[in-house]
Amino acid sequence: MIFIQYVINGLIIGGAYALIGIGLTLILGIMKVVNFAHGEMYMLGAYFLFTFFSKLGIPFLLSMVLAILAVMAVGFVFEKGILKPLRKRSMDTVMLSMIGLSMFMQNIAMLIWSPVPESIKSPLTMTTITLGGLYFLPQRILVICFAILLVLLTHLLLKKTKVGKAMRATFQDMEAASLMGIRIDRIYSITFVIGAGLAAASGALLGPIFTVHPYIGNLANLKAFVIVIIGGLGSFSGAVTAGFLLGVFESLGAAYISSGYQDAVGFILLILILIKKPTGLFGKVGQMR
Amino acid sequence: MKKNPMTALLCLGGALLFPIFFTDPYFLHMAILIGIYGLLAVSLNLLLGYTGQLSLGHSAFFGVGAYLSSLAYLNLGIPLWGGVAIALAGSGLLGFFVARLAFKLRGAYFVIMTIGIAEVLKLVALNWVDLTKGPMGLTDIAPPEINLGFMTVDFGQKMPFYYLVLFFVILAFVLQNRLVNSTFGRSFIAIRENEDLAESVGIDAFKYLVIAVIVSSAIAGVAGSLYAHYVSFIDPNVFAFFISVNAVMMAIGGGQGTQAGPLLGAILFTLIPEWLRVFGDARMAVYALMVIFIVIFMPKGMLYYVTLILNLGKKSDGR
Repeated sequence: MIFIQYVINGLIIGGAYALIGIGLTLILGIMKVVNFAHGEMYMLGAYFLFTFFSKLGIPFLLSMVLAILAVMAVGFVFEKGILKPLRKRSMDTVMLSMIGLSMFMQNIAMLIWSPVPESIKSPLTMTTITLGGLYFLPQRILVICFAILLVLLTHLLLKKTKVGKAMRATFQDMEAASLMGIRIDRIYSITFVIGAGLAAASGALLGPIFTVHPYIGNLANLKAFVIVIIGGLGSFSGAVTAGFLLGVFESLGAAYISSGYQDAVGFILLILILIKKPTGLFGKVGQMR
Repeated sequence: MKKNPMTALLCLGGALLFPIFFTDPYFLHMAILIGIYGLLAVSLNLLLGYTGQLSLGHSAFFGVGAYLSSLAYLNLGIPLWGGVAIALAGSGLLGFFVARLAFKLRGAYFVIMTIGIAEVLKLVALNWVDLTKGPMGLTDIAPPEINLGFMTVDFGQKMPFYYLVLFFVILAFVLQNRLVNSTFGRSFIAIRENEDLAESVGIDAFKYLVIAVIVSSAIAGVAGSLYAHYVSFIDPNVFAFFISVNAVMMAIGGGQGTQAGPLLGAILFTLIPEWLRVFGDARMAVYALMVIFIVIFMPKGMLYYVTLILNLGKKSDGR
């Protein structure tokens, strides 16, 4: 029974991992940007929730939505201000600029919110629901529901809408898509803003479960990259699967091996994947599913 | 630098005479750190500058070198000399495995692999308390003494240690020079410029990339070993991401793919974080802005501008 409890806990955290993972895989697949500032969007999501809910007293769910929207606005500014002027530059230049941006944001966050870790007292952590010997915190149920909802929404956006179609076309062949009249610049902006929003959602969901400090983005970023590589670069369903897998393996690793090495689990998975199937679980060139 | 033996000799002379004119311990301390980070920058430049593969986890090799030689000293009594050899072998071996795995794919994969390795090693250093003392770190890593018969050289003093570091920097520089001007160096550059084309003329890209990582990581390990014996205290922060980023900035800011660039970069990026202390808490934010600025606007590095200015001077002299 305890084993099932661990698996379920892992799946819940994995939902949030899936969100940050698909955000990163969209940005990498469509924009060809190795976004090292992705973890900082996660960090901002958690901090904005902290500010709106804990400091300003706005209702919890509304605070979450506001936090996500605020980070999307930040993402929009970064896309227009930094990434757009760098469109023609090499992948490495953009990547290093994003590393600079990530360090900048961490230190600005440190100046604004101080380096002292904060905890967000979610109104949903007060009671425990018991179901057939398994324990559920309402906050964790919220995480998994919200995560599944956002994954489905993103999936529908990619599959059913015109914008989604344009995004998939840009992913497959940017030049051909551009020739067909798709405004690439607009698709890039939309992609980056959605990616930022998904990372922020992940941060806002996990913020009340863990503590919030200016450097949480580092590990979140690394995990997001692990998810993207395990899932296969640019693969949507791969990122979702890998996100849940990582959550479960981390939970089991912490329970049965050592909690000190919990954050190394993803990396060990990554090495195994690279040995066995370097293109990732769902990796196929030029395909976004 | 090969075309400029005069400049090289001038720099060497300046470096040799430095401790005689600048006796202030702080200057010597900074000079030693510049040398140690210079080694790290040279090692990174071999990889980034010549093969075009970016490592953002060079602190992994630096840290492994530091921990291996510290543990060898503390547990087995092996002094710095043996420690350097152990660090060289250990970090080189780690580099071999990382490269074998990461170069199944290129670009972002290698970057993530290197960052990941550094993170995992940091976790190991934090959690394997029996061996590494965890967050407490290892202390009392003493620098060696040599008895020359007529006098004893104590490398605990700053000036002898400065010359020791300088010796290793010169060694690394000469090694880099020989490597770059050999078949290896030309193969590295061919892979950097166009891997498919390089393969088509018979260069085994995978093999050469692995070799580049082994050499690079071994030098980084030596830097870590020297660092541990100089500071005499290390903790899991030797694996910090900042060390890797700063090493990359040294290579890029100085001039990637040039031989003297990383050393120039090491001078700049060892001193800059010190100078930025005037900004107080905003220090790292200013540093980050500098990183963005240099990456975007000065990708050729300082060496390019320095040679530009020197050549201007030459032309006006000639007339």
